[in-house]
Amino acid sequence: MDPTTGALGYGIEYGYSVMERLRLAALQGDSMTQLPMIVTPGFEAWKTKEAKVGEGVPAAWGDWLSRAINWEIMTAVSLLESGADILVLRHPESVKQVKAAINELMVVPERF
Amino acid sequence: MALSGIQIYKLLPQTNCKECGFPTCLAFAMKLAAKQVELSDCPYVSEESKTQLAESAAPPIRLISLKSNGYEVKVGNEVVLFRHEKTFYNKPGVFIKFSDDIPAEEIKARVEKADSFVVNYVGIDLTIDGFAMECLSGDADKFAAAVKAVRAASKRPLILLSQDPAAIESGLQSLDGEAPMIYGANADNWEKMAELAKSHKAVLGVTTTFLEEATDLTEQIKGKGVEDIVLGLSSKNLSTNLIQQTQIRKLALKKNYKPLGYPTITFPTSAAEAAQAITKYAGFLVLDSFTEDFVYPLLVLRQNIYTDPQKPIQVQPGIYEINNPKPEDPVLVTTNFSITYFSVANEVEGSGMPAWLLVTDAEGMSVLTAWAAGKFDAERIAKAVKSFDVADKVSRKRIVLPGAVAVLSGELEAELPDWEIRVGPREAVDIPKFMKLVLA
Ligand code: SF4
Repeated sequence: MDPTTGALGYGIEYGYSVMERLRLAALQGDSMTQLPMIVTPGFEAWKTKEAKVGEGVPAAWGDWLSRAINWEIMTAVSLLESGADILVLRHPESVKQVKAAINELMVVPERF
Repeated sequence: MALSGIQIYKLLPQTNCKECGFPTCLAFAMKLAAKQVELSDCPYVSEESKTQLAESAAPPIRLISLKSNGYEVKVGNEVVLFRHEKTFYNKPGVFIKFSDDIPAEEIKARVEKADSFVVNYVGIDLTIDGFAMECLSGDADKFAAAVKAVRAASKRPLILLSQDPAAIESGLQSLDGEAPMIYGANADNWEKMAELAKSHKAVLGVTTTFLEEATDLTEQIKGKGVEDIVLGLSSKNLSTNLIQQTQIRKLALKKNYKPLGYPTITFPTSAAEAAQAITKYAGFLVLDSFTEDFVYPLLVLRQNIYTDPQKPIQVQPGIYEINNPKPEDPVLVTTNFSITYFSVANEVEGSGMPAWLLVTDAEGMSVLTAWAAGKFDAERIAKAVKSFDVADKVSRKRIVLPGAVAVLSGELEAELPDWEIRVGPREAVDIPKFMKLVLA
């Protein structure tokens, strides 16, 4: 199922909490919510002005490309933390870093 | 465990003297149970009751405050595991770390740059919270000089990083009288670090690898009379960090487990680690470098996750410039519900055409809801036009109403007689087309 989430800065917190609630409900046995969740942080993040626009924006926004990629990664990882199962990304660098994050998250530590 | 209103009532004088501002002790007890008042508002509680209440009333996660020169970073005091259960209250502090192996002049220059960083997001000015100075030189004097360099370039709160008590001591001395955070206490140095924290009223960070060690350490440190503690777990990966942060939060909230009832500090080195730290419970984030392109999205994420899910997020009412509008460009009107604002602003932005966006105070409601509630009408729009001096900004007085409230156009004409009133599309997605066809 697609909980339809906004990008970072554009209502991500709604989707974030909807997903946490869906996952909690699923774990408590609500079969309606026991489906993997697919999210599209790549599409959402690259729709934002922060990712799309490189000129005429405040200097405090920093380097355009890195900002855009960070926007996508932080959107994606936040959704990952709230229960996303499939993430559709856009930039190769984001794919690389989000994949690495997923691999790290899947390791079960022996001691913590 | 937290006491109920009735349990608290039994510990109060039960004289109903009203000095606390409530008609009865019971009313006051109820407020106290809901954590809406302070026990100190009642002047007559017995010492014995005070101790009993203090113990039960102490927040499960201690509130830690770092202050300096009028700046304050408050973290901890959280009450839920998931933000939808209530809200996350105290935003984690974002600190930038430098080390004493670079020349003082360069430290100053870099600190100044990060210190002056400010970015506006939906009417809120976002900045970093403070700086951390790490002792890498191994030289106490050098460290003190580096700490001084930071303090000369910024007035924000500081964290001193070293596991060598001698270095920490000289860093503290160079800050005359300030109470920063010192980090970190470990199994070997904790006694000395606790003494330093006590004598300088500093917040003490503990640094360990596993939760059990952290538990032992905080108990020992508390035994020395230091209570302002922050937990640092040197996690090697996202998985361990997630487990540790979740366990700390869970044990503190669900079991009122005091040895871990403190905020945490993390040292993220990537966008993924930083995003996890914000969403999953970090109290402090110490970044090892400062770049705008990283800090900007991070501060926005913090802002988003820490908004109260029960309250609609609002945008500051005002007149927003999109695509550098000139006096001849049109004025579009919308409400200050953030999602409404974002969708409209994003579409106008995407159209590539310049416009003024007038955001009215509709108490955070969307266009239709606000209209139905009487919070978005001709009178309010006209008032916004006046209070934000919109007429002085434009030469051609054209104002575009959202299509959903087309009915307002007659009344608005009456309110703003010298303005040309246009009715825009119902949906934000149709704005670019409308702008190109009708406004160009
Ligand atoms: S001040 Fe104290 S004693 Fe007086 S009414 Fe309030 S709670 Fe009761």
